Parts: sequence; structure tokens; C-alpha cells
Amino acid sequence: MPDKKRKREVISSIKSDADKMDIFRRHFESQFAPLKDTQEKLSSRNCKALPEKTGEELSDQEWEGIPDPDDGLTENAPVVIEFDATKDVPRSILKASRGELRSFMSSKPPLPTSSTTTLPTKSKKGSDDDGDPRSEAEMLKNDLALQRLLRESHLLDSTSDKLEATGRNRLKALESRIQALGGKDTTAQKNVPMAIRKGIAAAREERELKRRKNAKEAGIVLEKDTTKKISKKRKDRGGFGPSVGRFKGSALVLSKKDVMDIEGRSGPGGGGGRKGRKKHGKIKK
Amino acid sequence: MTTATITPTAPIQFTTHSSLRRRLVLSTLTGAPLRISQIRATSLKPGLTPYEFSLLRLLDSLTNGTFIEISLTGTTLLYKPGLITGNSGRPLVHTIPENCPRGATYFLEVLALLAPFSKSAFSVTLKGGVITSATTEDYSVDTFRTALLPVYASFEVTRGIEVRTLARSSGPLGAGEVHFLHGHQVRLPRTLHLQNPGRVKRIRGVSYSTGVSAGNNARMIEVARGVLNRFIADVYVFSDVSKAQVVPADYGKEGAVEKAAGNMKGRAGGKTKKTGVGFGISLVAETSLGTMYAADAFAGPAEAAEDVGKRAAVMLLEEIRIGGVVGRHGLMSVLVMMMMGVEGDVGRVVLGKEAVGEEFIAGVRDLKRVFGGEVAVRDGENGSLVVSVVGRGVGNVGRKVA
Repeated sequence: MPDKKRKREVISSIKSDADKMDIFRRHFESQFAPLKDTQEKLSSRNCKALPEKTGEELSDQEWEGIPDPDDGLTENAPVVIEFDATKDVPRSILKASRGELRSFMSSKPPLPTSSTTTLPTKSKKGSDDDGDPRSEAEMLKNDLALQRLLRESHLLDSTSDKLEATGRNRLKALESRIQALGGKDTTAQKNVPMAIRKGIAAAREERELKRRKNAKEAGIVLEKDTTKKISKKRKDRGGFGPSVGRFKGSALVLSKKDVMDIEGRSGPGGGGGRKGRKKHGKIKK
Repeated sequence: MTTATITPTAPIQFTTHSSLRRRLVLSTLTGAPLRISQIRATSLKPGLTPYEFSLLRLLDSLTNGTFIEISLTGTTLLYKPGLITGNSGRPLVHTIPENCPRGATYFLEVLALLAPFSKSAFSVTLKGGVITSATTEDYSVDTFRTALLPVYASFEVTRGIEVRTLARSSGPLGAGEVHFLHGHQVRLPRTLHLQNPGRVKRIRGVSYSTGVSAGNNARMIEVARGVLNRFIADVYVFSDVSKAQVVPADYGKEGAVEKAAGNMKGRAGGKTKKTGVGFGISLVAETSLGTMYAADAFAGPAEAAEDVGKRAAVMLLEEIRIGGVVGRHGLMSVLVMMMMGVEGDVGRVVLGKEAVGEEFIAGVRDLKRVFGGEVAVRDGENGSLVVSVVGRGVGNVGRKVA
């Protein structure tokens, strides 16, 4: 029952609307020219939408819901699309992290986007790999040369663009290489008072620190700092302690390594003591 | 080092006030003294303007040993630059005359060009008649930060650079405040080889309004996006609303601020007024390879916000049409940086044909006079021009040792 009631209401409202429009139209036509299209359209649409039916028919008919838009109802009606440029925020922006958006409004210049930095390097790498596949040995050689260059870069003259030191600096570089291989410092003076010796060392350290600081500020990559030695000695835990092994539960506990150390035995197939120990560790893995 | 840059005993002669700022910057970078005569000699107000004096004062405070001699009428200027020392550790506050018609970028562009070649870091606060928005001759501070500084990034000048807009203000009588920090000093800038500008992938922007309704921002953004969204989806314009600055009623006259002596709270019995009211928009298009194109529009008298937004968007499209690996806003900076580069290294940039105009030619002529180096321009692919610049190896005098 409620279905039928609703249907009637709909019909009546449509009809009354049409009547009202008719009144308006008549009034308009009395003042201006008669309208043709509108009447036709209105009537045709009415026909298509709801064919004229008698009251009885209507009462018998079941409510079929809103007419399907496909069956010719909206054929002539214009399609209205509401477009608002500000509302359809693209997904990429929504996806963009808040950090990225915030970085644009920060006081710093906006970050260069990732593609700008990755793209050129990628292409370069690719061309290298494809163009001339270098042998492993050559790569290693270049690597060593680069390491040496970095290590001795502070001796290079900033005015000339040669990659090898010349003159006095060349001798210095040679000296440093000899020292790196375990040679003695031939340039060092032999008998220097302690205070002066300390002063020299301190000055050297300061100079080195300053050079590193300046380079860092200027964004220059320097060689690795090798002056600070990391002691591999066992930490002195204070008090008394055994020179070998460790005390646990008032007993001296010796590990396998310690035993091997005492016996002076090397690992299977190993050479010297130190070397042997290392190898043993590796095999254990 | 060339003889032209190191021992110019006689100052280089220039006339008129045209591109005075650029000439001063070039001179400061190379250390070549200048003599500029006939500065507005036939004008009713002859000689240097207050903001040009202000620029000279700024240059003086950032260098060591600069010698400036100005004739009585101000129509002749002798400028012997000193060493660019910067002001590390001691922040510098530079007060711009209140009636300065130029935007803050007039000074900021100079700072950005000098700072990489300074001995120590720059930290300069611009105060007084600072106009952060775009003016008829200068672009806005936002464009400076988001579009010009990335140009320097291509020379690997990136670290410790900040532009803090502490107080926004529009023209004609500005009262803003901008803090410029620059901590990346280089020995020599990298040689630039940019052949391909890439394609525009995103557009960002800032719309700002000072002392007017925030609705203006929304209206500008809506129209600008309406124009730009047809071409690219990734458009995002930020909105920045700020209050107008309160200044003494006779602001703009000499010594008005000193007379008020800080009595500027509220209306102060009608002795104050608001200044720097207005709105504008700055748009920046970024390409896939990092090129920036920028456009700025500022509202004229009684101009609707919609018109301003549309103007900016159309200007940006025009910039993109002209193309090139560097937008026109950063053209001179790029040329100067390339000339400062490693001696003998040839850098190349591809520019749009229309980017090479009167301004460009004048700039290149100045470069030739001061640096002694020329710029080669030849036709490139599909209507572009390839500009090659040979580095002169001037670099940073304060940082001879790396």
C-alpha cells in the first residue's frame, strides 16, 4: 500500500509541475512570441517518462522504481558535469609526503627531487657497463691509484692540475709511502728535546685537524684518518687479572683460543701463530 | 689567472646607471676597479638613488678594503673592491631605506652571487624598507628561494643556505624583514654542462597576502590552477597570510622610524599606519631534470585576485614556452658562475631563443669588459641556442688553498 501512495504523489507532483510550467508558458507567450520547442520537448519527455494512464491502471500497476536512465529517458537531456579545478587534487600531491610539502615552505631552498639526482648517474653507470667491460684487475688498479691519490692529495699543488706531486712534495710523498710500508722516517731529527718534540707533534696534529676542518667546510673529500690507532689490546679491568684466560667461579677458564695460544700451535695448514689463529676462527664459522 | 683580472691598474669605465648592480657585483668578484660616470646626469634627481647607496654600503660591510668614492652630485662613482670576507660569527643587520622601490631580491641576488666566493659564511638580515613581494622590476623572495637558489645547486653550492622571511611586506613602502644565511663557500664552482631541460613535472607556488583578506589567496590559487591544471595535474600552491606592518604615519620620510622611537604599538594616537598591504603569487615549474621556470605577479591598484592569478599562470606558461635549461630569472647568475669556473673549462647551457635579448647581450658585454672572456652562442637543436662559456678561473680569492 505505501508503494502505491508514493507513486500517486510522484505523479501528482509531476503533473502539478507541468501545470505550473504551462501557466508560466502561457503568460510568457501572451507577452512575447509563442514557444514551440519547449512545448514539444516537455510533452515528449512526459510521454516517454510516464505514459498517460488512467487512475485505475495506475492503481493496479506496481511501483517499478525510478525509470532506468538507459531506456531513452535522458537521450536528449544535456549531460552536466561539474568541474572544479580546486577540488580535484591530483593523487600525486595527496601521495606526496608532508615532509616534501613542508620542505617547500621551509626557509631552505626546496630539495632537488630524487629523479634529478638518480637519473644521470644511472645512465652513466649503464653506459660504462655496456660500453667497455673492464677487467677486474684494471678496476682494482684504478682503485689503488685512487686510494694513493686521496692519501697524497694534500701534497698536490692547488695551482697545477697534475695528479702527481712534483719537486719537494714528490719526495714527501715517497717518504710517506716508505713509512706506510714500515720504513723509518729518515727526515726525522734524532736528538730533539722532549718539549720541542711534543710541540712539533702537537703542531702537526693541529695542522692536520685544521686541514680536515677546512676541507669538510669546502666539501672536499679527503683520505681516511689513519693517525688515530685503535688499540686491540684487552681492556684493563682494574684490580688483578690473569694474563691469560679469565677467572670465573674462582677457577681459571681457558678458551680454546687461549689454549692454542699457549701451545703456540697454529691451525690446520696454517703458517705463523697470528695468522693461524685468524684462520682457525674463519674455519670455525 | 689572466692579466685582465689581476692587475687592472686603470679602472674600467662605464657610463649611466644601467645595470649598475651587475657591474658592481662583477667588479667585486674579480677585484677589478670600476669608474662609473654620468649616473642619471640629465635626470631631475641626478646621481645615485638611496637604494643604490644602500647596496654600496652593503657591499662595503661584506668586504674588506673596499674603496668607494662618489662625486658631490653623485653622478660619478669610483669603486675599488676589496676581499669578500663575509661576516661569519657576527650577524650583519643591513637597513634598507624605507622608500626603497626595489624588492628585497635586488639585494638578495647580489648576496647569493657573492656568498659562494666569500672567505667565511654570510649571515645578513635585511631590515627597513624591505619589500618581500614582487615589484615591477624584481621577483618575490619566494621565487628567489624556490627558483633561484636551485640554480646555484647545479653548481654544487647547496649547504647552509637559508632565506628566512621573518616579516612579509608588499610595496610601495615596505617594512619587512628577511634573513639570508649562506654557509657554502667554494674555491671554484663546478663546470656546468646542461643540454636538456627535461619536461615540466610539477608546479609549485606561494601566494601571499599581507594585510588583506586570505580570500585573495584562495581566488588567485583557484584561477592559476584552473589555467595550469589543463596541462599538468601536479599543481600545488601554498597560501601565506600575514598581517600588515605597523609603521609611523610619516613612514617613508627620512628618519621617520627614529622619530617614532619604537612607539608603534597599536594605533598610537593616529601616529601610525599600516604599510605594505597587498597580495601576489609566485609560481615555479620544475622539470624532470631540475630546471626551474618561475613567474611572479603582484596585484596592481584595484586589480582583482582572479586577474593576478591568471596573469601569473600565463606568465609561467610563457616562461616554459621559451624554455632553456635555466629560466630567465637565473640567466645572469648562471653566466657569471660559469665564468668564475675552472680556467679553460668550457661550460655549455642550452637556452631558448627568446631568452637571449637585450638584457642578455648587455650582461655578456659587461662580462667581457670585466672578466675579459667572451661567450659563444650558436644554434642548437630545434630552435634553441647553445651558449658556451669559458671559465676564467677567478674563483674564491679568500680560499686559495683547498
